[in-house]
Amino acid sequence: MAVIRTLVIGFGNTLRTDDGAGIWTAENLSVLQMPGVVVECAHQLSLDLLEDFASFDRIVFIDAAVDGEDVAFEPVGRPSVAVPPSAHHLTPADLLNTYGDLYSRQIDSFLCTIRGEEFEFGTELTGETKKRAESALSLLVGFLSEK
Amino acid sequence: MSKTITISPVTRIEGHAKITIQLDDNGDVLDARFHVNEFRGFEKFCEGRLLWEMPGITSRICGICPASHLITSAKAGDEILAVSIPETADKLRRLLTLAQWLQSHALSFFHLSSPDFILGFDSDPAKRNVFGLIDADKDLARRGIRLRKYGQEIIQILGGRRIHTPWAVPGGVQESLVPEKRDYILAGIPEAKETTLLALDLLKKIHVKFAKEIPEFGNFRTLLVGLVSKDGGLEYYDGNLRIQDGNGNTIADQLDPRKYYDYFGEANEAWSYLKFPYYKPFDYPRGMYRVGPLARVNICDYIETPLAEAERKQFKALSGNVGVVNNSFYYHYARLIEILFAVEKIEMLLRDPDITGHNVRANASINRMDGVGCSEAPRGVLFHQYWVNDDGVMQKVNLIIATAQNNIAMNRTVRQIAAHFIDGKKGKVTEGMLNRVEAGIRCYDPCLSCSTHASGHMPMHVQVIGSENQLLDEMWR
Repeated sequence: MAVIRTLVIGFGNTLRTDDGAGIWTAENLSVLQMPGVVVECAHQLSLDLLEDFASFDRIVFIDAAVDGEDVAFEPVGRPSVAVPPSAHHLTPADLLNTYGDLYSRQIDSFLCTIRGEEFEFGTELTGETKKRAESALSLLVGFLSEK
Repeated sequence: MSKTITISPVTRIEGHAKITIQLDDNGDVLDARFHVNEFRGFEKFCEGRLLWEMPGITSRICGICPASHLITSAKAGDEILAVSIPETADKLRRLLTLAQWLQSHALSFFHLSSPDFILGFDSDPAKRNVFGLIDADKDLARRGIRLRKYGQEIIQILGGRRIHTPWAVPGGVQESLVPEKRDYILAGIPEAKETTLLALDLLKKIHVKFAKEIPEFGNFRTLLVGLVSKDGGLEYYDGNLRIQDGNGNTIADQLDPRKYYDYFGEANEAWSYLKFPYYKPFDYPRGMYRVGPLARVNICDYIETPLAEAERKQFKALSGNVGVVNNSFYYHYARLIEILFAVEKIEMLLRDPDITGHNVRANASINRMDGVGCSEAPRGVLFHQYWVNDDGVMQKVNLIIATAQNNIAMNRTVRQIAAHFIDGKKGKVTEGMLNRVEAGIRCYDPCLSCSTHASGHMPMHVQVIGSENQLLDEMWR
């Protein structure tokens, strides 16, 4: 069976404590070197990432969240507005919608969110968020190992 | 009764700003100003930090041109260490500088400015952005995204990440380039060249399409300032300063950029956080000058790569008998010529066997108490000056940013466009009129050192205020 090619994008601001949870998780996933999995990290989602999508069967985004479940994992939905208000503040849904417009191709995509506690200046995750990020990492390893 | 119109925020630029347009009792434009209302304070909070940290810290000034601050900071560090960096490091830094030009200029043309050209100045502002461009011309949009990504990939390959890499350091760079990665970059050259040539063709058609409007887009004589090589060629990383007037006369040449403070002063105005640099011998504000692509392509005697040199000659032909292309609209043309140069020169550098050399850093301790770094950022000449103590701890920092050096000219551009396109007597100021004023600012591609730019449906707020500060009219976009 062919390996499912997966692009994992962890994004957030590592100088804002728990906002870096997505990148922390992506970096730790990268170390595992799972077959078919390519990991990228980004400060924020931008149109330049679209070019990378063409080589993959699915995309997994990892981001921090200010509220919601400790760790959530779900398919990326439709964007809330047809045209994003700014090319600097794209959501996964905005990016995928634009990808569909530009390349006439849909791609399976998922968003993993990790709830943070603290978003002030700082380069370390808080203890609680780090535990959640570890849970997210386990969840993602399981998902990416499925055939 | 006099009125004031405010455009805030100015959209599709890098950062936050607003424009106010004041009308007199007759409804004619009395004055217009470009206000920068964000404040960063890097010069102050860098005090107390170590010299070796400065490239990494100052690259955080901007998310669009971090590599330019990185390189300029490292060069200031070289001065303080009093070292001559290894040749390979010099070439690698040049490569990074060109990749920075490429990705920043591609962003300016394809993402920020071309929506005006392709969709029209009067088109629906909700669609007049890169997403509207995607709808209107998918191939152009894809090419623009790929070209910018190519520049960013080169930065990532050299520095480990696309933005805010700490790769350049006082004395050289942290890592060499391996042959496999050199070959990967080389493989992207043909497409980058093809896209740039297509964009140049497109822009020439745009010049025809907007032939009636272009003469009002910041068309006036100023001084032009930039780096040139020792024999007058286009320079981007090193070289000396050349200053020309709006008639093409060189009034100063081969000035040592380390003595920038002898040539340029900085004025302040209460209504903007952005300083107003000026050429000292002419005083403020008469010492208005422009930097960046328009200045660089105007003042150089030649460009060392063949395709860009052929375009430079066509560009200069626009000047007619004056000898200088003084219209700010042609910043866009000069920017594309510089992309072409960057692509050609990147290829030349990569084909130099020295580029994969391993000797990339000179080590030394503090040997001077101050140093100036200078390079050509995408938007113009950039200066960093540092003063340190014996341990290399920053005592004082002075940064002269390219965008600021265009500040007087940007204000004059806003006044010129407003005076031509806005007629308060008719009682109706349209969104398209205001967009033209904004587009005048976008010619300069100002980078206001912030991580946001709007792509379309931003809340533009226009207020018409009477001479006694009463609100007469109000419009939201």
